Amino acid sequence: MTNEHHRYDHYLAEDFAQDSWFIQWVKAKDQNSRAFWDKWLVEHPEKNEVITEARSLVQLIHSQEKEPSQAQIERIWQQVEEGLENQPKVVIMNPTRQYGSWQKVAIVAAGLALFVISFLLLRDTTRIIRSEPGQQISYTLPDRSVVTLNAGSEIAFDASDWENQRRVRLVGEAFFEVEPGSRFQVVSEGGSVEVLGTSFNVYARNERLGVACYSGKVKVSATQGRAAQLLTPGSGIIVTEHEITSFSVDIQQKVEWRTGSFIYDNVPLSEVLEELERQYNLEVELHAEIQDKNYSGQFTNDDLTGALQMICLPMELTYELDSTTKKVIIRPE
Amino acid sequence: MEDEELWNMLKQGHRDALEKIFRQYVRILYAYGNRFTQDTALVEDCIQDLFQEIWHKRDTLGATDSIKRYLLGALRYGIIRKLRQGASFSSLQDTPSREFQLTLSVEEVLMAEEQTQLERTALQNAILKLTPRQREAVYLRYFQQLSYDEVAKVMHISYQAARNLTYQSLKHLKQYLSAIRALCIVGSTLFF
Repeated sequence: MTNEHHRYDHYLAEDFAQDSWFIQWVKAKDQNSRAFWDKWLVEHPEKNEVITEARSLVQLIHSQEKEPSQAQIERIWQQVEEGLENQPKVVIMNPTRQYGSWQKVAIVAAGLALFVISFLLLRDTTRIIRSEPGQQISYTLPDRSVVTLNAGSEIAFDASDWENQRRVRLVGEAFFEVEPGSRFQVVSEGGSVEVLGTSFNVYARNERLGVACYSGKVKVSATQGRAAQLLTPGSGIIVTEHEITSFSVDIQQKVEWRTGSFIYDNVPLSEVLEELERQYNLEVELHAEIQDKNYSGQFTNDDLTGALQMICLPMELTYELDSTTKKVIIRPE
Repeated sequence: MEDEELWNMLKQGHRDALEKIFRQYVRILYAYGNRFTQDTALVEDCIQDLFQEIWHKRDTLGATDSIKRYLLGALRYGIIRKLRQGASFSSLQDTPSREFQLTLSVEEVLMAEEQTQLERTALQNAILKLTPRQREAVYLRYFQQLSYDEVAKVMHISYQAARNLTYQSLKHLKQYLSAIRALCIVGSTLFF
């Protein structure tokens, strides 16, 4: 560490602004770099001005990124996929060897035969798509309907029977953009959701089912055999064991979690922290006496310290973060 | 999943791996590509071509320790090639500028201070004075957070050249930064 400290003694502002470790401090603001640079500044008060200048330089280089819309992304991907299928796939094991055209036909035929045989042998056609903590993924179903999974979620469906029955099991949270066609069903522990062709968000965790309708019509049936509810665009409901509550949805806005922000209105703190665990792949320990509290507010999934502060400050809680074991302890102030 | 593992899955012909790579990097590629040209459709085409190409030649792809660096480099090559073709075929039309676009934010730096038109102009001039290559190096280094080694590989220049490009840019911007600061002081003494 002493070497590290002296390395910077004769740096000018532009030297600092080029240094990875320095950039990390200014841009990422993580604890390690902050600890180092705070200490360094205390030891080198005469460098204060140079550091300020270097910080300005790094911050200066910041700009608006051009972002593609989700629709654009899907369109590009669709075109990529079409291109993959158009070209016959001949796997050349030895790139230096040239195949004659009849040989190519033979290889393709052999490949097809192998494909058919393995298809007949491997009848278990259940597909499971899982997103790990800290990861959101989009998946295109066989009918080109797109499902986007929030972190720590899972869907399963039967690929071979898909044409007869568009049915997906869900544990977790997902946004569906369904291609028009026959009935499309999402089954979860708390109930099921049925649509024809539409877009909607489903939250199915801890026996709690939340559905928000963005377009088309969505039918929600709770497991407990209560009357089915019909949702129109802009409406949503939350079904728990005891009650059904309605809420309204801003259909102009993307579902918050898809933009990386999580908004809560009077939701059990434990549920909020479970989402935090999934988004950042952490383990959160909550003090017993605050487990029943409710939280209103929001956090984002790109700044852990910020997120912890957003949750803790308004509730007068403090947190301890151990970044090596990825463990957080939350207790009253 | 680690880059290497994902890349290997792609090379073994896992289509999921291709899609995963696509979804993970499409935003970065889109943002980077659109700095070379105003023609969004051209950038989209190049991204499509890039992913189809890596799929079709997956058997012969080399190893990479950084998918991001590989994709940025490949997209850069594709876009520049397309822009050159366009330029030779349609010299009558407005050829898209091959200038690498970069805007800097005065807001972040001078948050507390009143901003005047003069400051904005000064900063805009500072950026215009950078060469496109300097701008690109700065972009890759500070926005995409690539190492100098990676910047060099993406831009097909030497390590030292990558360092020099960013160093020159920073020195240049620093001068303008002091100029802006001076303007602010002059401004406040005039008004108060």
